[in-house]
Amino acid sequence: MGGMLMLKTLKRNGFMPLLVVAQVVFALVVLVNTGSLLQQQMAPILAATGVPEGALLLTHQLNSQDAGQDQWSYASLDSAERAVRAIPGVIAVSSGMGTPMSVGGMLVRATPTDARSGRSVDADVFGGDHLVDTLGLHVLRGRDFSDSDYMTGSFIKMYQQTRAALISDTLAQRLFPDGDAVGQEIWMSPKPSKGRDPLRIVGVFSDTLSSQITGPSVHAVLMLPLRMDDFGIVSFMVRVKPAQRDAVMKRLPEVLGTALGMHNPQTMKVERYEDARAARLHGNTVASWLLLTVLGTVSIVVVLGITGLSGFWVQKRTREIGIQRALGARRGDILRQYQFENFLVVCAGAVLGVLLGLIVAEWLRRHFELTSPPLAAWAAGALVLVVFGQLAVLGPARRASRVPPVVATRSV
Amino acid sequence: MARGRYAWHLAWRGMRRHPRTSAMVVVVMALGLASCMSVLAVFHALTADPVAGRHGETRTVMFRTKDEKPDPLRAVMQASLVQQVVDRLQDQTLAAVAYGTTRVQPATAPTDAAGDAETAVMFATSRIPAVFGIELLRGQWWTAADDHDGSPVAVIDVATAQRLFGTDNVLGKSIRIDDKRFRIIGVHANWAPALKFYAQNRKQYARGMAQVMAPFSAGDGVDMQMGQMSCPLGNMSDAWKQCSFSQLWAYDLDATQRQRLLQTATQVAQDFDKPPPGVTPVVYQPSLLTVREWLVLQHTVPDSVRAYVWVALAFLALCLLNAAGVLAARFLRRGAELGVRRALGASRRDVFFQHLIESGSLSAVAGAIALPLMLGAFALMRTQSIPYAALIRFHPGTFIALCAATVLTGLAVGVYPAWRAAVVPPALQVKQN
Repeated sequence: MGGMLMLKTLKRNGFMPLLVVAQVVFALVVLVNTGSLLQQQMAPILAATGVPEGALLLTHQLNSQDAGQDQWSYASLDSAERAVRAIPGVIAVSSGMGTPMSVGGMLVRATPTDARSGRSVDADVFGGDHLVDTLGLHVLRGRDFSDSDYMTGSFIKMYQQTRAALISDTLAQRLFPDGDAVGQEIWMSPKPSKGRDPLRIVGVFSDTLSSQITGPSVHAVLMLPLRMDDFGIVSFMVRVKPAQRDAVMKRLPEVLGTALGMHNPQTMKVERYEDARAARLHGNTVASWLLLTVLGTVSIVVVLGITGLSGFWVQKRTREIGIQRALGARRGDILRQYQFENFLVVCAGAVLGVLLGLIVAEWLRRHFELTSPPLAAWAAGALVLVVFGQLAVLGPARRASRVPPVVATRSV
Repeated sequence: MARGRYAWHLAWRGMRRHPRTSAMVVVVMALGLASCMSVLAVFHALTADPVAGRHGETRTVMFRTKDEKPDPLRAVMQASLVQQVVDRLQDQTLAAVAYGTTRVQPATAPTDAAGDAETAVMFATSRIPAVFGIELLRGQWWTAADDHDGSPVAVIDVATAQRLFGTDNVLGKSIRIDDKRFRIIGVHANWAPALKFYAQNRKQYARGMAQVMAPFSAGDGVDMQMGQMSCPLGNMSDAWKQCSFSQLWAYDLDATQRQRLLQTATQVAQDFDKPPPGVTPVVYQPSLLTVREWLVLQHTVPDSVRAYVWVALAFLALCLLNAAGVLAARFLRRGAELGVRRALGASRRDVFFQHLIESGSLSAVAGAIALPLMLGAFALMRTQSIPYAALIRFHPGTFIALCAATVLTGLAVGVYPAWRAAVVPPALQVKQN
């Protein structure tokens, strides 16, 4: 049976194929967009943390007002660090701002910009005392901060006077795609600030999760050598021997709170890194399940829809099939005919769907900075729908192939 | 009448004859309606006018420089700058507003008592009640003289009065905001716009409403948390220039007043930002933003929500097409029987309405199922840590919208198949099959 003839049949029974085409169009739009939203939600769940497992403790942002002070000086933070380091099992401790997984409180984001190319990337800023070691990260290229890099001061001073920076591997690759980042200069804002020198990158450290856990900035972190002085809100990061983590976790509020002069040390919230991460990603997990449900529902709906329509179509054309069979068409021919028809119809729907989807995506991109799913996603979606279509038509097509030739001679 | 009842009877029989496909149509349509309406309700909550019901437009001033792109940060300026603008325009419904959270306690509490550090505090100039339309329950607001003197007086809301003092008769009592004493001179009604637009900062959806209000100039020396930064309001000196967090809000200005406001803002900004000799000064060209424009600039509606709206609409379309397909197949299968009915004298209208009732009833059932699904989705969203969760609420408008959507989808799904069924020519059908 020639393709042209098949097209004619499709044309004559226009309504049903049209419904299938329309369903495929919308199914494709939903599948591809849901898929790409799912991918965005899953990305931070799947992203590597980069920190040693079972070894990190974080404190919630501590407020100096709970110690009856407006700010903490570097001296008091330093003595608190010393006190914590004395707890058995503690390997390293650092006070800092913009700690991993922090949600509220002081979370600092900057847009480091390559001083020469002007290329800028959103990144988290972690500031603290020997953070690379405390977070269990590694310096990949260049060096860690030296004592002369460190500056003791307040938040504003840090922004104005820090001269050295470490950046994560991902940030290095995104800021300097074609060269070594070490020794390069960057700004902390998209445009050079008046009367300020750029920061010099002294080293690149291994990737770790930033606080901004969605989007392409998931591993983009910038570290500043900062000994915090006159800060009202401070976090502490503690790396311990995994076996002793629970013991340290119990003792930490008492030791740290007392050293900092807090009125109610026991109310201090200490979290395991993994728990903080899970809490932070809770929304992503729920959204992922929701989107998976949508994907499943859409798949079922579209398969059932095509099956139903194809079934009706086959039933309507029973006599026609009987005649074909009586005229010599084999069962396989009938089966293939329906499969091929379905293939054509679904392909038409997929092509229309991709076109429509791309037009809408382009419109959204122009108006709302929404990124559209990549072309590969559209191709994959179209392929999935063709497979779904074939699955859906299998039953009706086999029923059609079993129509006996004798039907041609009957009147009903 | 009898005809109508007969049509209902036939529609009912039609549904009963195909329980499986009927159930499928209902489930598919209910899913489509529920998901679409849930997402639209979220979208609506985020885009709704937070100061609805007032006749005038509330506007803020953005101090952008010439040729600069709109930047919300340019609307949040140094305290002294906005103060100057307000001082020069005494006759306008205009106020300087600085907003944040800090610790508020009765003045009698010990200074080192652990307390709730998260009380929402707003420092504003004396015309604030007119600008935002805040109702006073008892006492009085502060005056322009208090603005001038920086009098430590405060107007607090009923809930905070109850929390701090156990009564709402608190006039004359004293509170401590951060470390500074304020005398309560008024109690305001719980002022709660749908979205705390004046404190909107990127993706932060403030939930608690302004509880304690005090004169702008009295904020000197009070340390507040604004967004993620701690700002001493008084020390708005050079070192803390980045810590600017005061805004101008104006209400219901006519064209000439707006012109004057812009002129004044330009002058003040120009004077404020005097460069050292020899450097060309920056040219300011402030503009006015309505609440809506301000919220758009703040990306109050996250892009992800927009994406969800499109996906949900496409999903609804898919569900409707699916239901329409199933119904069309079902109706057209009845060709023979419809031919007989038509031959026996049923009019096209009878056949058409019979099928419309059948599809309409199915969509009504779907709508009824969609309602609890939607409420479930709301409850689910509220338990999640999404920033705007508190804004998601079910109100009558949502229900009406759901009803309208159900009717529309019922028509969309039913009309074409019913029409196809109705145009079956009587004699031909009987003969053919």
